[in-house]
Order: sequence, then structure tokens, then C-alpha cells
Amino acid sequence: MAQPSSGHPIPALAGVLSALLAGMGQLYSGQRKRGVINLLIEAVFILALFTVLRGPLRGLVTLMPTGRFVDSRHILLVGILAGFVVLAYAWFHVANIADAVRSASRVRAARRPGKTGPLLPMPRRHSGVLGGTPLTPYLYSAPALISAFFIIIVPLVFGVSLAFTNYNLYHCPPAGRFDWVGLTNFAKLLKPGSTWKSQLDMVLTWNVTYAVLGTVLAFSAGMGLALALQARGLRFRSVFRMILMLPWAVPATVSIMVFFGLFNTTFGPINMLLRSLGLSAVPWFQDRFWARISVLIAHVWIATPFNMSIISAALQSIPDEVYEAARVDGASRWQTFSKMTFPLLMSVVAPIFVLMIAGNFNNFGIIYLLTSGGPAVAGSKGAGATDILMTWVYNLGFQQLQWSTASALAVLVFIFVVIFSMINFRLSGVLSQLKQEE
Amino acid sequence: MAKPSKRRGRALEMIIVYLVLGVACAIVLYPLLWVASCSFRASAGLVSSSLIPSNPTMANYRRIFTDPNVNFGRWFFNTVKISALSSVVALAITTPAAYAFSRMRFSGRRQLLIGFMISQMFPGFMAIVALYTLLGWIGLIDSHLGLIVLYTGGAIPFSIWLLKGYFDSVPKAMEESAMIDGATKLQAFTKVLLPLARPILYVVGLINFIGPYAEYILAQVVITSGSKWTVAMGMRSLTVSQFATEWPVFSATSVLTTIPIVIIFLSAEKYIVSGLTQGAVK
Repeated sequence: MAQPSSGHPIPALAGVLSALLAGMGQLYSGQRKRGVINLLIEAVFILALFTVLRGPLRGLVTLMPTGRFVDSRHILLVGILAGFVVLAYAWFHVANIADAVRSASRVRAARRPGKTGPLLPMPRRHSGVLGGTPLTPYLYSAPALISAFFIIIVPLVFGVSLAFTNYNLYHCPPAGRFDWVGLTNFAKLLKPGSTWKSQLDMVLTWNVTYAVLGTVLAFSAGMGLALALQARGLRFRSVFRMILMLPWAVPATVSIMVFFGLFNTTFGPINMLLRSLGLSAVPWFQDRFWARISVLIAHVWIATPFNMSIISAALQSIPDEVYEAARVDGASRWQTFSKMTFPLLMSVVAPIFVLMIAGNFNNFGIIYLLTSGGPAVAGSKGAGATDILMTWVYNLGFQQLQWSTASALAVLVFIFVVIFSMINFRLSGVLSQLKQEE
Repeated sequence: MAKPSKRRGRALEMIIVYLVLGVACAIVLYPLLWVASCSFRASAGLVSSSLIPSNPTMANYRRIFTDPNVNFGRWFFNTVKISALSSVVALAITTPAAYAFSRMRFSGRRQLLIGFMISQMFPGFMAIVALYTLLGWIGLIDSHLGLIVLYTGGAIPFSIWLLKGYFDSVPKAMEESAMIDGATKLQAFTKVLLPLARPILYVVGLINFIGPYAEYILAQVVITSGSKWTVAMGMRSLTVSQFATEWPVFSATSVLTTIPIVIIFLSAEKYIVSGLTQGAVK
């Protein structure tokens, strides 16, 4: 090995050495302690790779029963955990190469001719009174991060993996076993002209309609009420406000079940009222159109107070001078609203408006508990007229045991929502703000 | 000096305002009053659209505490237990994490925060199959602990973002001067920042209590035996089976389920609303 302590270590060489074997580059530039630690970590990892990790990793690739694990779901789950260990090591290894290059150039700089004295201390990102050691932030967040890893990350990776298997009624553990099938499920769903594709189109169309229309309606209602509550000289303002907030306070599950009763075709009070007025009863849950209307009505009832609160807060953030100036310029009330208040309001609430559309896209509870996706549609793959993608996915999984198709659909939904939200975050500057904080 | 026409316009405007608010309040109140009135109606009676029951009776309320098939007391106890524990545990593990994300800079910080945000966009269904498998494996299916674990985990990303946002708004100077006076990092966090952040701790605690309180989907996947049901599961069973006959009983359970939450919500409304809309409106 090249001679460290007196010579000038070459950063590139240190990097290559560390890439071959973790810690070698650090040893080469004279960092014994760090080098030995990294070397040990690599040794332990390689040992694990040939012992405890071997079975699970092979299971992840083949999904074949091996020794202790027979159930395909267990094989997949253990395999995913092993995969995460490998990923964590890969991250360590890359960091180790970067560290070798960095420390070699630091040693080199410190030993330039004419420069003597102790090595400069490593620049620390954690300095400052509130800093602590480099490990402190990880210690503080460890309980949350570990829980999130097992309860959110691993299950989500598992769910995504299922989209690439044939886990269904005929390949159902523990009796049966499932296997990797590549993109088959996605091909099936997206193949033009197939029943699946036409079903997907129908559900997606209603899903987008529901998300956009529901959000816009609740937003408009919320804006109308927020403006009304702002009227000067309004009496009983807090009473009105309290009543209007009630739908937010009542647990949504309860509200939806109450609407389930209100809309009941035979016994529900809405139809009773219509009948007593001499009108014919509306087939709320039996007719495709009316079922969709009932979903939207329940949605607007539940979601309006949230919109109202946000818009109220935004209205209060508009300075009085703006109105004053408009008044001085002789603008009418409508002009003031359409030219000043509304644009200012939208610039403030636009990000959350987009976020609400994304949230309503997966608003599972309201559809599941109100219409259960019904009424049924002829020739369908289980999708009803009010089914949104997620309720359809749920039925495909829990009722028809088509887990793989359901998972593939869920992946498509996820991609859709992420793209939508990322555009929104970019527009609203959340991400750049995080960057600025560093 | 207002011209008469302007004054008339203003009067008209106020009439419209009162009209809009009045109609809105009626729409909000009707479903709630209807359920309340149904709960005093004789069982097996037909549901009516009128808000005043003809023969008011307490029979439905008596029944939900005596009929072994409608074990409301047990459902309610289960629900409160699960929600309270989930909320407390979530708060306990996310507060220090949010402190780290707010006050410290470390590698992976930004990626983790963005990761939390993205994880919220995953359809919950994708995790359900795996969670069901995992819980089954470690023997937590049909147990309240299993449900608590899921609720706690689900609350993590959102709680961290909310807490971090609040911590960011508290000036660092107080903690720094405490540390210069010899306080340790942990003391600066627990003795200086946490007391200042009490409002957001209540908000996050309450939101994480209200969330699981009437949650139905996960509960239904995890819990199977009737004695372990939550309120939402019990209520759903009442609406699905024999709608007309059990509706008054369902109404009684919804009234009792809703009242505590509405009281909590309205008493802390200012904080909850500002907590949830904070960040939305800057």
C-alpha cells in the first residue's frame, strides 16, 4: 500500500482504494481510526451477505419457498428487509468513497510545503450551540424514523412489489404461492380496447370529475360563506361561524352514515319531503347520475367549513389599505372583489387548492361508506358508477382477491398524484424553501 | 355622506348576507337535528322528515347500554382507549424528531422531509396488504395494539411537518441563551422549547385523537371479533343491517359519539384551525 504519513496522498487514488474496500482510502491518507471502522463495517456486511442475508435475498429474486419461509408474502417481506440492508450498505459505501477523497485532499492541503502544524479540523455542519454531535439529530428522530420505516416505508414497498406479481385468487398464500410477472398487470390495465382499459377510463373520468368538481364546489361555498361572515356590521357573527363549523367538528364517518340515511330511497327524509310536495322520489343510490350527485352533496357539506376557515384567514391577511385604495379610486364592490380580493385570495390559497384536489382524488371514505361504489354497471370488472380508483382498488383486493391488479392500479394512482403534487410544490416553492433552510 | 341609493344598496347587501348565512346554517343543521330527533323516536317506527318526534322516548339510549348486541359502552371504551394511546405515542415519538428537523442540520434531512411528504401521497390501500401480513405474522391481527401501531405510524409524517413548522416559528435565541447558561441540549429542548410550543402540542395531540376516533377502514381490516369493535364499526353494522328498524338506535349512538368530539373541537377550534391551515396561508 502507498505510504501515508509523510507523503502527499492522491485524492483520486484514495477514492479508488475506498471503492475497492471500504476504509482503505482513509488508511492510505493516514486516518487509521476511521479506516479501521469502515473496514470492519464492510467485513461484517460481507459476512452477513453470505449468511443471514443470503436466503432472504435469493427469496426476493425467486420468491421460491426456502427453508424457514414458505408463505410467498413472508418471503417477499423478508426479502424487502434484506434489500433495505443492502441499500443502506450501498449508501454507506458511497459516503465512504466521498469521505476518502475529501480527507485525502485535506491532508494534502495541510501538508503543502511551508505549511506545518496540526491538521485543520473537519468542517462541521453540526457546529453551533444547538448542534451537538453528528449523531444527535438521528438519536432524536430515531423512534419516529424507525416506526415510519416499518409502518409506512416497508408496507408501501411491499404494496408496490405486489403490482409486479400474480398474487390473486389462484395464487393465494398460504395455500398457493405467487411469482414475479413483470409488467403484465400494467399491460393488462392499459391495453387499448380491453375491458380493463374501458373500466379504467370510466372510473378515472368520474374520479377526476369528482375531485375537481367537489373541490371547486366546496371552495366556492366556503368562499361565499367567508365573504358573508366578513360583512361589516354583521350581528351574531360568532354564532353563525360556530354553526357553520359544525360539519368539520362532527366526525366524517358519522356524517357520511347520516347522509346514507338522509338519502335512503324508501325511508329517507329527503325523498319523504319530495313525496309530500307531490314530486316523485329520487333514486339516490340506484341511479348513476343521482348517486354521483349524492356523493357531491355529502362532500360539499363536509368539506365546506375547512375551505371557509382557510379563506377567512386569507381574507384577513389582505391589508385594509387595499380596500381603501380601491374605494378611493371609485371601484364598485364587484370590481373590488373581481379585480382585487379574488386575485389576491387565489395567490394565497392556490397551493392548498391544488393540494385539496389531489387529496379528494383519493377521498376513499365518503364513497365507500355512502354508495360503496354503486350502483353496479353492466359488464364491469367490479367497478360501479360512483367508484373512484381507490374504492375500485379496494374491492378488487378485498372482495375479488385480485391483489396484483389492485396494486398495479394503486401504483398508477400514486404516480398520478405525485406528478400533480410535485408540480404544485414546485409552483408554491415548498421545496426551495427547504433548500434555503440548509 | 352616503347617498340614499348607496344606503339602499347596503341594506340589500345585508339582507343577502343574512339570507346566505341563514340558508347555510339550515343546511348544516338539518342533518344533525334530524339524527338527534331520530334518536328519540320509537324503534321500528318509520323514519320521518319532521324534526320533532311524535312520541319522544329514551328507549334507544337505554337499549344501547343494555342490549348485548349493541354494546355501545364497550365500543366507546375501545375507541377512546385506541385513540388516546395512538395520539400520545405519536406525539411522544414525533416531537423530538420534529425538534431535530427544525433545529439541526444533518445529511438526509431534506430527503427525509420530502420523503414524509411523498409517503402521504401513496394510496393507503397499498400499505394495507403488507400491514395485514405483518400484523398477522407478529400476532397483532384482531388486537387493539395492532390498530394503535397503525394509527401511530400513519400520524408520523403529518405530525412531524406540523410540529416542525411551529418550532421553526419559535426564535432560537431562547434555547441558545439557556445553553450558554449551561443547560444541556436536552434541557433546552424540554425546558425551553416545549413549554413555548404547548399550543401546537395540544393541536397535534387532538388531531391525532380525532383522526382514529371515528376511523373505519383500517379498523375493519384489523379487528374482527365483536367485543373489540370500535364505535365506527358498531355504527356501520347498524346502518348496513336492517336500515329502517335499527336507524333510531344508530342515531342514538351517533349522537353520543359526536357530542364529545364536537365539544373538544369547538373548545380548541382556534388552535386546531390555525394549526391545520398554518402553512396554507402565509
